[in-house]
Amino acid sequence: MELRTRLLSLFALLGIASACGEGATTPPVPSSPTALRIDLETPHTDDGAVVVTLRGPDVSNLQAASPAYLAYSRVDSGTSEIRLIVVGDLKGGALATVSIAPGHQLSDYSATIQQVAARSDSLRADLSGYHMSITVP
Amino acid sequence: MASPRSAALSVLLILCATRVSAQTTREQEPNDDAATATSARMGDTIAGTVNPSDVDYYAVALAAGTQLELIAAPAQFCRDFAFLDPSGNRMAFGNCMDNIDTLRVTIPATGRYLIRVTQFDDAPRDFPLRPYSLHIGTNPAAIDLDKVVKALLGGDLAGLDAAFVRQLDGLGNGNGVLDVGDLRAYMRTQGLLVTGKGVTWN
Repeated sequence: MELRTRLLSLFALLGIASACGEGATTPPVPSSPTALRIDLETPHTDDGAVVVTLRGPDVSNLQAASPAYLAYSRVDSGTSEIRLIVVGDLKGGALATVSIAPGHQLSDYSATIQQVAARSDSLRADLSGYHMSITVP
Repeated sequence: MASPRSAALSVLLILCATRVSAQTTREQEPNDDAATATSARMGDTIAGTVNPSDVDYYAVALAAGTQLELIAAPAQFCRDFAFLDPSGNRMAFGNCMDNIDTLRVTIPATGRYLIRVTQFDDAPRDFPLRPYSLHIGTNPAAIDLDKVVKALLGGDLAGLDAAFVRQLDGLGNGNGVLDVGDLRAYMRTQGLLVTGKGVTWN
């Protein structure tokens, strides 16, 4: 019994020591994201397709955010630009996700909307009210 | 010179021959790895049974440029279909085929490709064999879709015939420019826009 108590005390001391060590005093280093989520903000409820340009380094593995969406993309590594088409009965919110290589920050990336078509196939002439945002999922 | 009647007969014979060449290919166990994969052909429907301790492989020879469609029959259990290139790299995957019924892949090089079927959703001690089937097909319209998508993504209309571009625009919004609305219209009319059902595309 005495041995058990001593062992428990020893483990407790070791735990306190490690908590007081370097790891506890150094603020955690913010890890760089490895994936990004691209969100669509829309003033309409009948969007049917969009063309988006995403700019930023080392982007790959684009996936539609919903199984009801179809996504196509083309990477231009020379300009760090991805052109993206998403087709479906689109709703505001997550449109697609992409992977990014480590070492980059969220602020390295931007997305702009190029074209929007309604579900009736008409091209929207006015894109005011549309906004793209990028977040770390 | 062939009469209209004989020409029609020829077409009918070709259609019949095409139908005869397609078949249901049942798995031949053991087909648990690439080396023992059951051979199938374009146009076949593969069918078999699977449980969590089983994996089924099918091999199919495909030509470069083929717009492959793998269409899964509905099932009441979670089954995964993976499409692998000749080196075993995964090109498309339907996880449980959840909300998905079709996998689409553009074949990059002629070779022997693999379809792998697995399932994981049964309890550890409850391993009933569950039936599945998957059609191996192609959709010619998908070839044009591929060109339209590339043109819109790259801004390059070189791969598209001018008359086809006019046709697409007329099918869509008719604004004189090829745009994403025309793409959507084309997909809908060709049955390539399936909302509520997912389609994965490599």
